[in-house]
This record gives sequence, C-alpha cells and structure tokens, in this order.
Amino acid sequence: MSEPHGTGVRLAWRSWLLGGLLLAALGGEAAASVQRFPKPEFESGYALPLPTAPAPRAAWLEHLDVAVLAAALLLASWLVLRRRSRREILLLMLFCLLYFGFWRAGCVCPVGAVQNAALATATRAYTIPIGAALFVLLPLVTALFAGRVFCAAVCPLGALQDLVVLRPVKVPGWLQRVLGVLPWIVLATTVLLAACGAGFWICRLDPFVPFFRFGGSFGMIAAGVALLAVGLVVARPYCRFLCPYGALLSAASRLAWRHATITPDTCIQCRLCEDACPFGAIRVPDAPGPAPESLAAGRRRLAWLLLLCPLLVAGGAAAGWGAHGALAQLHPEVRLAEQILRENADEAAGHTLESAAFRATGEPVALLIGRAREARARFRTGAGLAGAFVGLVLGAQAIAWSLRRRCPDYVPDRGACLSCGRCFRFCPRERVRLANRGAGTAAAPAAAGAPEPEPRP
Amino acid sequence: MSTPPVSAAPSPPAPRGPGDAALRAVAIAAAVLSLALCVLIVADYARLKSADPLNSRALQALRVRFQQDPADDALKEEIRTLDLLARRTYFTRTWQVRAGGILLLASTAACLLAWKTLLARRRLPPMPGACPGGDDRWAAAARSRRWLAGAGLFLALLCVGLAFLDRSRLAATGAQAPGAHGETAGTATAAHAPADTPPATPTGLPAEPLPLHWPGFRGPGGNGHAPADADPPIAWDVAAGSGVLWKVELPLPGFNSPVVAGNRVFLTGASAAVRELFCYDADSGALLWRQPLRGIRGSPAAPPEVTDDTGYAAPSVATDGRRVFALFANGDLAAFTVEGAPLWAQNLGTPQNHYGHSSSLVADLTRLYVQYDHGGGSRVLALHTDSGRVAWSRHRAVETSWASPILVHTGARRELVLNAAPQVVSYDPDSGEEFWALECMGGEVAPAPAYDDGLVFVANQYARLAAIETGNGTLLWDQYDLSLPDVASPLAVDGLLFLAASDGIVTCLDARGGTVHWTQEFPKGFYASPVLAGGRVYATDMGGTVHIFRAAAAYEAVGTAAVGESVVATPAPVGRRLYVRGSRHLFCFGAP
Repeated sequence: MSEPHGTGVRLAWRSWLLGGLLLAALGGEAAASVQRFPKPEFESGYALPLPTAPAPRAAWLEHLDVAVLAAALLLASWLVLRRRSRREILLLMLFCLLYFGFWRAGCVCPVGAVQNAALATATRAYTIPIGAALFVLLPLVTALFAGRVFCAAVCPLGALQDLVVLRPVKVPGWLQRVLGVLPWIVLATTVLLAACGAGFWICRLDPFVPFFRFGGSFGMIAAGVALLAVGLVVARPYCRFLCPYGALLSAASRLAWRHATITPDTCIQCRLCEDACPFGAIRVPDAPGPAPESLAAGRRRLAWLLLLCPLLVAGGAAAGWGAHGALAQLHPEVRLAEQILRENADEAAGHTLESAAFRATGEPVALLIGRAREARARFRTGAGLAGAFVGLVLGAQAIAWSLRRRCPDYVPDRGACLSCGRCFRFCPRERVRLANRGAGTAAAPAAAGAPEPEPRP
Repeated sequence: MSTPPVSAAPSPPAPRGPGDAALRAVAIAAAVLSLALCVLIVADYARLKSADPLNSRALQALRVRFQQDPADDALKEEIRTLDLLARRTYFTRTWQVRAGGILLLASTAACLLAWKTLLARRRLPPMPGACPGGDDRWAAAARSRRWLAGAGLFLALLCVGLAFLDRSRLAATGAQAPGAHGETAGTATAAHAPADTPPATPTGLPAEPLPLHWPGFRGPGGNGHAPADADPPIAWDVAAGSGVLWKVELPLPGFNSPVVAGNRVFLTGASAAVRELFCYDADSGALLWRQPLRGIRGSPAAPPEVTDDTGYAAPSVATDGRRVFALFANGDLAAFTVEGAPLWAQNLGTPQNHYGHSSSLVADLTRLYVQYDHGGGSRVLALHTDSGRVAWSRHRAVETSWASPILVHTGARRELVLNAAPQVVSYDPDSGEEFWALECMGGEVAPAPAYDDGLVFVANQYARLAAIETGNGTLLWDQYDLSLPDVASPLAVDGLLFLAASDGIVTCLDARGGTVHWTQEFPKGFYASPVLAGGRVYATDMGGTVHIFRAAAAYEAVGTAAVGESVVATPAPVGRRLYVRGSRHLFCFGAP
C-alpha cells in the first residue's frame, strides 16, 4: 500500500517512495542531506555524524515489481483455470507473501494504489507513477479474464489471512450479503479522502503492514491481531468485508471471461463440495418444487426497488453532503486551520505541534484558511458524490437480491469466489481427472470409483 | 440433473494417527509461548510508551537544579550519566519489543502449522447432511434486504449526526466576517485595516472605475506597451522647465514605478519604520492623499534586511480602477479605494529575500496576482480584489526571484506568466492550474517576461535569452552570446525584441528567429525597463537620460532627454505625458 507525505510539495510517490525509503534504509544506502536544525556543540568533543538520506529506490526494481505482479497473475490464472492445483496456488501465495509482503513491506499494492489513482484523477497536480497505475489495472484486467486470481494467490494481505484459517465457520448467507456491502462503503470513503487530498487512509489504517515491517502503531497492530484472531474462524474477514479493492475485483470477476469451476467437467450434484468453501462462495442449486413466492409478488417488489433506487441515490448524496464537514476534518490543512482559529479565539487548550510549526513558518493565516476552505469545498462535492454512490450500491444490491436466477448446479459465486482452489479436491470428477492425468485413463475411473468424466459442452 | 438423496449420518470420531500427540504438544507449547510473548510485549510496550527518557522526572529535576547552578560540573556529569542510561534503556526496550515481535511471529507460525497439520491428518471425507426439503434462499434474501434497509438507515442517521456535530469555524466564518484576532478568514476585512483609520466598507468604492491607463508595473498586463493613443513627449528640459508639467518631491524613498489610472498617479515609499501609499493628481502633481500601513496582523516587528538598491518599497502598485493595491518588502499587502479609503490588509509572511522583495503586483477586474518567490517557500497567489481572500495559491519549485508576473491574452486564453530560476511557468489566472512550464532560466532572476504574438521572452544576465511558444511551452530559440539584462525587462513588439542591459547596451533582435538586428551602446546602464509608446521605445538609463528610438529593425534615434537625477523605475507613458520617478522626485513631462 502507499501513503502520502504532504500536499504543498508533490503528493506523488506515496507508494513507491515509502517502499524505496524502507529498502534503501535497510540496505544502508545513503546520500548527503541537509541539516535542518543547528547542530548542538558538545563540550566533550563528540563529533556528530553527517546526516544522510536514503537514495530513492532504483527504477529497475520498480519495474521488477510490476513484472513480478504480471507474472504472478498469469501464473495464478493458469494454476486456477488449467492446473486446478490448490497446492501450487498455495506455493505461489507463499512466494507473493514473501515478495510483496515481507520483502516489499506491503508497498506498493493494488489496494493502496487505488488511492493514487483516485488522487491522480481528481487533480492535475498529481501524476500517478506508471508502476502504481499498473498495480491498479493489472489485477482488474486479470479479473475480467480469469476472476479473482489476484485474491487467490498474489495479494499478501489475503495470503496472511489465508494461512491462519483454522476452523472456519459458515457465516449465514444474509449476514454475508449485508457485510458484503461494507467494502463498497470503504471504497467510496477511501476514494473521497484520497481525491480530496486528505491522505491515503487505507495505508494509514492497514492492519497487516505492521506484520510485514515488524513494527507499527499500537492501534494498527491491535487491529491486525484482532483481524487475524477473527480469521481463525471467519476466513479472510478483511478480504470479504472490508477490502475496497476486493469490491472492484468482485465486480470485474462477475464479468469474467473464464472463471474457476468446482468441477472440471459436469456437476453430478453429489453435494460433496457443499461445505468446501470457507468463504461461503458456492451457489447451491435450486431446490426442487415451486418457489415459495409468486412471480407477481416478486415483480412488484422489483418494481418498487427500481423506483426506490433514484431516491436512494439522492438520499445518499444529501447524507454525504451533510457529513462533508466532519469528513473534511480528516484533511490535515482543514484540521490545522480549525486549530489555528480555535487558538485565535482562545478556545483551544494550547498550541499543538502542528499549529506551532505552522506559526513558525510565518505563512499568513489567510493562505491556510483559503486552502482549508478549498479543501472543504472539494469535500462538499466529493462527499455528495460518494454518498450517491453508496446509495446506488445499496439499491443495486437490494435489486440483485430480488432477482430470480436459475442455478442448476453447484457453481462458484463469481463475485464472492476468491479462486483459492479449496473446492477442487472435493469434487469426485476432479479426482477422476487427476487420476487420469497421473495414472492413465484406463485404471483411473475404477480407482476413483466414479464414472468417466464427460467433456464440458 | 436431480440431487441424489444422501442420508444424514453423524461424522465418526476422527482417528488418531501416531504423530498426533506430538503435533498437539507442539501446537500447545507454541500457543503458550505466543501468549506469554504477547503479554510480555504488551507490557514492555506500555512501559516503553510511559518512559520517555528525555522527560523522566529525575532528569527534569536535575535539569532544574542545573539551571539554578550552571557552574556545577558534578551535576552536569550526573545529568549526562542519567541521560545516557535512560537512552540506553529506551533503545534496549525498543530492541526487546522488536525481537519479541519476531519471536511471536515465529511461535505463532509454528502453532498454526502444527495445528493445521493435525487437523489435516484428522480430516474426514465430506459427508453431506440431509437433503434440504425447501429453498431457504428466499427467506435469506428477504432477511438480507431488511438488514440492508437497516444499514442504510443507520448510515443516513450517522451522516445527519455528523452534520449536526460539525462545529467548524471555517464554515462559521463567512467571507466578509472579521476573523478572530484579525488574521483569520476573510482576513482581509477591517480587522486588518490600519488601526487609525475607520473600518473599510465597499461603499467607498467609486461607482465607475477609473480608466486604466497604466495600471501596474510596465503598464497593461505588465507587458510594457502603452495604449495605441499614447504619444508621450520626445524632448523636455528640466533645467529650463520646458516640457515639464510638474515635478514634486517624494516623501519617502522607493524604487517602484508610477502607476496611472484616470487622473491619479499612485506609487509607494517606505523606510525601515514606515510604509506609505501616495496618490498624486495627474494634472497638477498635488498630493491627493497618502495612507500609511499600520497595525497589520502578522506584520513583523523588525523590518527584513534589504540592500540599498532594492529598499523597502520596490514592488510597484497595481490598480483595477476602483482599488489600488500595495506590497512592501516586509510582506504587508494592503488595498485602498482610489480615493484612499482602506479596504483590507494582510501580511503575506516576511519574505526570505537577501536583497529585498521586489516583484510587482498585477491585477485584473477580480483578482490580484502576487509572485512571492522567496527562500521560505515560493508561491504564486491570486487574491480576490474585493476581500483579499485567497482565490488560489500554488507552491512553486523555484528559487528566490525578483521578477514580476505578466498577464497576457494569447488569443485563445489568458496566461499568467512568471519568470524565475529554473522554471518559466504559465498559469491559468482563473484556476491557478499550470498551462506549461519550461526549465530554461538560471541565476538571480529579476527581469519580467515579455510577450508578443504567441511568444514569451525571458532573459537574465549570465543565463540566457529564450523565446518560448505559449500554448505548449516549447523553446523556440535561445541566445547566450548577448549583453543580457539583469534587472530591466525585455520589450517585445511587432516581431522585434528589445533588451536594455545594465552595461548600457541596447539590443534589437528578430523575435521569431533570434538574430540580432542592431546593438547600440549608451554611456549608462539600464535598470528601468524599456516601454513602447507611439511606435517609439523609451529606454531610461540609470543616469536619468531617456533614450527614445523607433521600434524598428534599424536603429533610428528619435530623441534624448534628461530627467536630472538617477532613475531606476520604469516610466509610465500615458496620453501625451510621461511620468517618471527619479531618485527624489516624481516628474510629469509632456503637454497639459
């Protein structure tokens, strides 16, 4: 993930620079820098070492990151769609956890790079690095072709959670659906904050980065530990119920050209895979018999929901607009301006570090106020748009849950399925396929005790 | 395809393998170790947070004692020892937390690995339960919709609550409301007006703006071109008084240039202690009013250090016909009506400028533009002329500069062009967005850009002369081997470019190609920028001699006239008059 470091100066390089600095610091690379404050003079004759600054990360290493991501996505797609090997997916996941997680310290990653893209879209003053842009686009494009293989084997955050899944419980379907709206709300908020210049909050609150970097704030570590503890019994809670990038991938995966399947050929409805998915992403076939609700009643409800959808959008816009003031407080300059105004009105307990530093610059308060007002104005528009988006998501979900979709077989729910491959081995047809591949077609069906699989139409 | 019936059968107890006990022991041991490490790390972390070595009570008590008795060497040594001990403790604990974290990660991984292996060994084949009799997805969908409605309602209430809890002072203070302590939003209201003047109100503005004859440094847009009807004199005699309409002594020193709107001439003067704006009657030279700038919040108590050849009043004023704006070396910026009523004032922050700030102001009907390049953080500002509020502000990655902005219309759009090292940048005057930027300048930049026919020209001594195409900021040509100005700005007109350098050499070049048409050497150098009026170029040297020649590809002198004292300010040609600021006097040459 990535994190900004200011507004006046270029806000660029959030993701790359942070990782670069860390790496360079670890590697001991150093370059001359400027002393910001006068050096203290020691009577003992102690000579202060020269200040150093880490050199930026080499460009070829950034290209390497993109190349590794692209290769990992291709390999993951192949493993999920062709090889159908959970073990090999697991190995790739471990490699990506080591590379993108521990070696690259969780930065850059597509989840955070969404914020770079949002900021670059919102302002011409910021140009997204090509590497960050590719980190956003490549997994999305891959999802359009092969589903959420990024979640399956490439994302280090997902990998960390995947490894701690111990005794997954089945989250009730209705609860999973409702919680599944959360990532969209997180996405709207994240984009709003990044686009309005309030910073990259997803990175600041990333609960897993402290594990990759062996350090972090107490809050972040506590959140990470809590999520992993929950993850022992609720598989991948962050991916399913919080990840904003997962929401985008979920939408792209629904349109995927190819997607992972439970069975390699034809579902024989043996029900063996029914409880195979710890993420509750297997769609169960329609029950025999008449539907418990008449078609007319379903149509009426759908019509009402379609009529309600514009109202939800308008209501969401109004609610977002109303909350823009509170959201704008997350912008550092708005917060600083409010503090300065409170101090000037003798309403503040005292100076904060930020207000004292600002006053030391000699910059006129009017300029700060002007910038803060501009930021609030951006939030007014942005929060309205974000609210409208959330309203649209709520309406669209309600409509989606009211549609009748035929499901004759056990198939993955394309939006929720993480393509992890756990369900493969539960399918007897898969065992036949593996037996055929390993021992030859003649002996395999008998060995597996299942009929010869027929090619899929 | 129908679902085959599967009988419901309870899962048999998991068989235990030979290694299960060992795995379970490893898992339990690793879990206990993880838990213990977790407790230790949290405890150590809490102690680490509470034990700030620099602020330990013992150390602070020793410091207080040392302040009372600075000569106590034993106490000094004791403080050093304790300080070192505290720091060692701090860093040791930091190391312990980090090492504990790595151990915790390893033990947790071992626990998980053992446990997962154990579970994998004991895993049974899947055994589906009874075949469901009905379809419960309908009920789940209905329940999901109900909860979704609840979630939506909760979000809406949350937003309403947040809206009610918003106690923003930014929102509360309107554009015209005086801010607390006078330096806050709307900064620019009466709270910043000079203390001994009545509060400013917009009613003091004239109903009709004065004609903008020469509204700022180097005239309209700052480009050095007088209006087409200008026909200033080509000869006068100060000693004999012929051709001199009036001459007045200036109360305060300053190097800014006269600015003319209607029948008013504006300029400023300042010393280390006082800063004033003057308004003279253009016909008689009578001082109509003078306004000191006092009591501006944020104005530094001590004046900044400036050099004698820059002074405290180098930036020229600007006017929009209703208001006049003045900026001084200490960052004080004030607006008055053309009748002298104070409107607003603020301090932009003391510029860190080793010579003194000298960039002049440029105004249009709604905005005032300030090039504020200095060591404390360069930026360009657009302020609302009516309130002084910031319309937009952009940080600039440039060094300290002394050049003034120009505001030109390129045919397709208006551009605010700023010259500085290393970049020449064009901004959208409405939004502040960059149109283009070109790294082509170096040194200490004082000459303003010049514009003509789609080209921007920038020059600086010991750097280069460059012609840049507006629109995309492409370098058309550049020149190094010329006598380039270090203060006077270039003048571009009808395909010709004129440079007046401080070594006394005036150069005329082809604006499109950069070839030199002619050069002419004069005894004195030029600080005042050449201006165009009536098809003639008026170049005033530092000795106070105005050299007048045709704006043509061949040098043709038209006249020479002396002011009688040194001149570094740029003259203002208006109608049949020429207003010149000398070192001590303001002159008006020409016909009534």
